[in-house]
Amino acid sequence: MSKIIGIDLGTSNSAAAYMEAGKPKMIPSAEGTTIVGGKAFPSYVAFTKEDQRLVGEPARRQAMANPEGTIFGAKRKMGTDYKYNIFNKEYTPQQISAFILQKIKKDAEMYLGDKIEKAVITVPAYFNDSQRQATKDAGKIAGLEVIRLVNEPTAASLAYGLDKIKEKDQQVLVFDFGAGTLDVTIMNFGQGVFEVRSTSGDTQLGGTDMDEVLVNYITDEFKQKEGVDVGSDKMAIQRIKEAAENAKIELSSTLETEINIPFVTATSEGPKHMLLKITRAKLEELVKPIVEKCRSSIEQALGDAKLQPTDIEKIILVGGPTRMPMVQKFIEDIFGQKIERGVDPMECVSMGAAIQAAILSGEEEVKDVLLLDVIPLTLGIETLGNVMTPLIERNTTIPTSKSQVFSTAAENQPSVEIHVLQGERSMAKDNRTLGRFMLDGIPPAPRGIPQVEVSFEIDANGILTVTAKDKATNKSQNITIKDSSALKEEEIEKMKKEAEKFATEDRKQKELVDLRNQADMIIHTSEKALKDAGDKISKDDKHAVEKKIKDLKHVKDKDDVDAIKKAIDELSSEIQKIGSAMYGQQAESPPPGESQGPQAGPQPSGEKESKEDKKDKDEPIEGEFEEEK
Amino acid sequence: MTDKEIKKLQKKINQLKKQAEEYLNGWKRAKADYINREREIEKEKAEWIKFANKDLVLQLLPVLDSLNQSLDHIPKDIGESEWVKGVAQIKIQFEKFLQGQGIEKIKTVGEIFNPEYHEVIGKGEAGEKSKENVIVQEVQTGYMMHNKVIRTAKVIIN
Repeated sequence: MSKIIGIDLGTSNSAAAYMEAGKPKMIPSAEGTTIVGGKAFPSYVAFTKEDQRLVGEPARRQAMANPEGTIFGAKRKMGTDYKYNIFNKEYTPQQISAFILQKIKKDAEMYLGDKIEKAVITVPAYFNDSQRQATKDAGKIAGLEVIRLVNEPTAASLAYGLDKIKEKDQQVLVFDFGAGTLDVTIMNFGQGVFEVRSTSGDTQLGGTDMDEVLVNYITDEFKQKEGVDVGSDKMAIQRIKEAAENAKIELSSTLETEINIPFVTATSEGPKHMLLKITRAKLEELVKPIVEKCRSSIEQALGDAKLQPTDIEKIILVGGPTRMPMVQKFIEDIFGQKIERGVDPMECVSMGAAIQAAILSGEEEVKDVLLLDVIPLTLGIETLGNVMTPLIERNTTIPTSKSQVFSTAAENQPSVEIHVLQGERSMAKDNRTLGRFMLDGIPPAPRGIPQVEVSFEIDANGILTVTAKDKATNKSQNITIKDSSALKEEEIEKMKKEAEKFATEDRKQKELVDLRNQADMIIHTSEKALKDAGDKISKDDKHAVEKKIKDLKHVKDKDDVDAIKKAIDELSSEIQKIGSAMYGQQAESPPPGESQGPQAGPQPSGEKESKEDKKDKDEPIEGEFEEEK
Repeated sequence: MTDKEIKKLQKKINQLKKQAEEYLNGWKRAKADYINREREIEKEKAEWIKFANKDLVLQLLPVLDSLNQSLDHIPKDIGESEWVKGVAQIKIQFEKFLQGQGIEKIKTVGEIFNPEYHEVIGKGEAGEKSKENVIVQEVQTGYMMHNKVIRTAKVIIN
């Protein structure tokens, strides 16, 4: 079944979204830029004299050169008898909107690699029947079956998940401040239905006005300071516009920024530079008159709905300009409460449309059944040196499974104990024990040779099964733990907090243990090398190694990390001398019957089998079980 | 078993069948979503790597604009000096770096205006002899990265 997409067919900008794995995602506009680029595109349609049709960015780019062939804001004419006459051809507003929808359809098909036949399109809450019908017709012309028209404020509310509130009726205010229009809508949400109580707005007010006052301010300041009017210098204006746009964005997160444009223009006296500090306070002072203009629309909407500001329970902001802290504060001051946050105000309408599409196509129900859980805490086993070795990291979505191969820590070790742990701490003892079991009957072999595969499997209900299998004999044991997620919320929080609190300490201790394991390993290898070498090496060399082994043994169980490191390095270089003398290129003596890989150093002794755990590879996991005593 | 019981069970079976089908569909969809996402991620990854520096370059371009402007306004009395030559060389260095990132300038003056690459910010004076829609002045240089426009050229056309 092909996807149903959600479309925000806006006056100034349009965008589209679709549902994936229960979450709305934006469909990027093709536009010749990259995926890193914009998602929305300007609602421009243009015809060139050569009868070429342009939609979106390209249409906007040529607007100035071809004003008679360029149409902008066709949405304002929807549902009227108005006809655009372009180079002696007539177009209805529906047709123009259809060109925009066609582009969206094409972009979506390319991006999703699937045919798109159905869509949910948003319309302003105040649209009347003929305007709505015109929008549906536009969809039809574009080859899209419009399965539902949704009010823009309703779509925005869906994106914020307001439809999930079940307790009681809510009064919702949606403040949609776009590039060129302001729409204020008050809705009542109850029993799963959004009902529009009042709408109000200003069709000639928006973010573009804000950009304009800022650019004007900058050029005025420059004129005052330098006595030069850059108004006619197109290059200067272009650079100032870009700098102003950046400054505006920056001032949403900082309190002061700088407009720095060297060589902005030139006079007969020579070049002129622009260096101007702009504070957030200054910007706010400049745009204040524009923001204040919104007040009357809000008051009117409240009045029409017969509500007081305090009656509003949820406030949703839509549109780029609402990202400005000043606009947010303006609204919060009027209503004496916080706005809803967490969804991009420029994306929420199309996202809401996509959610509506999913509800209509039944995807939503399926999602409810298939609500996937995550494991709250990391699961792992205890390995050599009382270390907790994680197998499944916390926040992994279940069901899932993972396996890893471990080996033994001692010569001829007959059995291993699997100690299943839960928690975020580095040392086994600091975590919660979920269970233990033994796998015995491992054939006698040197340490590091046996391969024991440990698999963790969690089903959708959170039931954990841990299996250990000796790959040589295929003998296996397992344990099933039902309460792996039975911890209470507070306990989980407590364990996470502790992990954070002890993070540094734990890391140090882990480092020490890793080092000790490394020391054990190298002592073992060195002793074996000496034995294998027999009398092929000189007594002096042998003594030198033996001395270094003794030194390392002496420091390894103490807590001095640097001393252990030093002793390891010294022994390692000593044994390498012997190694290279004896075996040529082979630096260390590989144990018989096995490739050099896992045993050559303190690297993970088992190959990892799960696809997902590539990132683990950098961490030194001492993949050996503690010897059973 | 009475007819009533059979009917009841039949109903139950149908219900369960429907449910099973619904679950299977959901499962299939989830799996398909995953496979599709994997494919998408591969594509996106390749794009990301290719265009990883795009944002950085975009922020560097205004600096290059300023440098270009400075070189367009070299005072006459020092025009031939070694120092000026050195600064001009910095510009070449800069442009070489951009080339190395797969970035090239968009051609403008003399070309026919194309909204894929160019943005009109003004029309030339009437009466000029050249053809319509031909770019007569470049106001801001545009750039392509791996054959995709990262900044349109701002131009004046006839």
